Amino acid sequence: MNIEQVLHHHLIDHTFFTLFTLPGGVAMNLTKHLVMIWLVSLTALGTLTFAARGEGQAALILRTGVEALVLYIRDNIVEPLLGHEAHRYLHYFLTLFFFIFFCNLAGMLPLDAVPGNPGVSGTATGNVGVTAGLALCTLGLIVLGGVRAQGLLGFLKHFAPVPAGLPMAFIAAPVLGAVLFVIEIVGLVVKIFALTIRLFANMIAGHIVIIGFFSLIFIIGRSGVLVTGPFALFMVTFVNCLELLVAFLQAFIFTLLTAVFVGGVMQHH
Amino acid sequence: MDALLNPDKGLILWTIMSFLILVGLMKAFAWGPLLHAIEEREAKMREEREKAEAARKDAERIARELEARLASAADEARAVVAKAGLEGEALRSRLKADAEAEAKAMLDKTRAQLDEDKRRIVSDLRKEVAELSLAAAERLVKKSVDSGTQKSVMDEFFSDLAAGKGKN
Repeated sequence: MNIEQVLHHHLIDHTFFTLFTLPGGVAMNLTKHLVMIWLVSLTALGTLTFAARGEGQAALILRTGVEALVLYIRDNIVEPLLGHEAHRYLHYFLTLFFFIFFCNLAGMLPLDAVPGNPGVSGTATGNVGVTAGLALCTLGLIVLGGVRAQGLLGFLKHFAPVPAGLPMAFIAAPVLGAVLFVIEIVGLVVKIFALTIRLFANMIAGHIVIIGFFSLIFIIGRSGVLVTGPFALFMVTFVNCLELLVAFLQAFIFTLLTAVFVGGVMQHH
Repeated sequence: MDALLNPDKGLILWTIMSFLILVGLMKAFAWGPLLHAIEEREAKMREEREKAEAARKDAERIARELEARLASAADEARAVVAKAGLEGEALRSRLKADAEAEAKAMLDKTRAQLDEDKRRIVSDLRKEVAELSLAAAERLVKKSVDSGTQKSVMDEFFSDLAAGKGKN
């Protein structure tokens, strides 16, 4: 097995079979990352429901931790950015944060080592399709939030913020409006694209670095430099610790940026 | 490795559907109860804080009232002390005046008594002298005189006496 095969095995999604095909020819496959999404969703749902409704010491400890995160997201992200609309969208942002966080953490579990596992493992958020799906959800929320807060016309006006009082306004305003509209639409697309790539690249980069350090054992160790093993082990442990931080950080950043974008279209100019 | 950067459209749709369903389920089972509990607790804390604030304001108001009452009581006490001082002074003056008046009256009365006694003694002495003089005159003239003559002689005697006194 060469490095490309290792990378392929660990990073690329694997299709088990096609569930059904949509009229446009889009195959709805059951893939390992999709199964991971479902497993993570069920785990998150179970864990957080237990935290919210459970009784006993374990539930209390879990609830205390979850509440700290929930209050942080509510008080420092959603409420300052969305204002009085915050309570309508708070559950979306909380789900977004915990879903990404759980997906990122699940990607660090060595599920391949579980006996009888048919190949369900990997970081779902390290798949560009998954991050694109989440970013498109953000796009949907931007449109929904904007239209709800300002109406359809107000939302569209938001994309052509022409200042009043321009010289020769009857010529300048439409031209400027059209240019700004194009720029704003491109800006929105770029935002969504950046969201997609940022999470995907950050999650996959750590895995590639870890695989790289492991590969050192086989590349350099083959020539008799035995110190490579302990060095690689130390570095892999270090990068894994870093990945724990990145798992939290990327979930936080994705949630924060989504709130910034949604909050931006809710503000009146 | 092209598959790494080519998003699977099916997976995008699966992700969107799965995530939106998860949002709904989480809202119903996890965030609903959790946020409700948090809001309830915050409302309770807010209420407790408001109560504490109200109690603090009450305590401050009571303290202010007590201070005002204390100040008022101190003023009253000062006024009472001042009034008592004035009354004491007035009483002392009155008693002094009364005592002085009484002493003066006693002195006057004593003086009058002394004058009266002096006059009476002088009168008695005059009578005694007159009687002794008459007795002496009777012995000289060997005859007795009636009381009318006696009186006229005595009056004359005293007149002469007074005249003689005036001359002396």
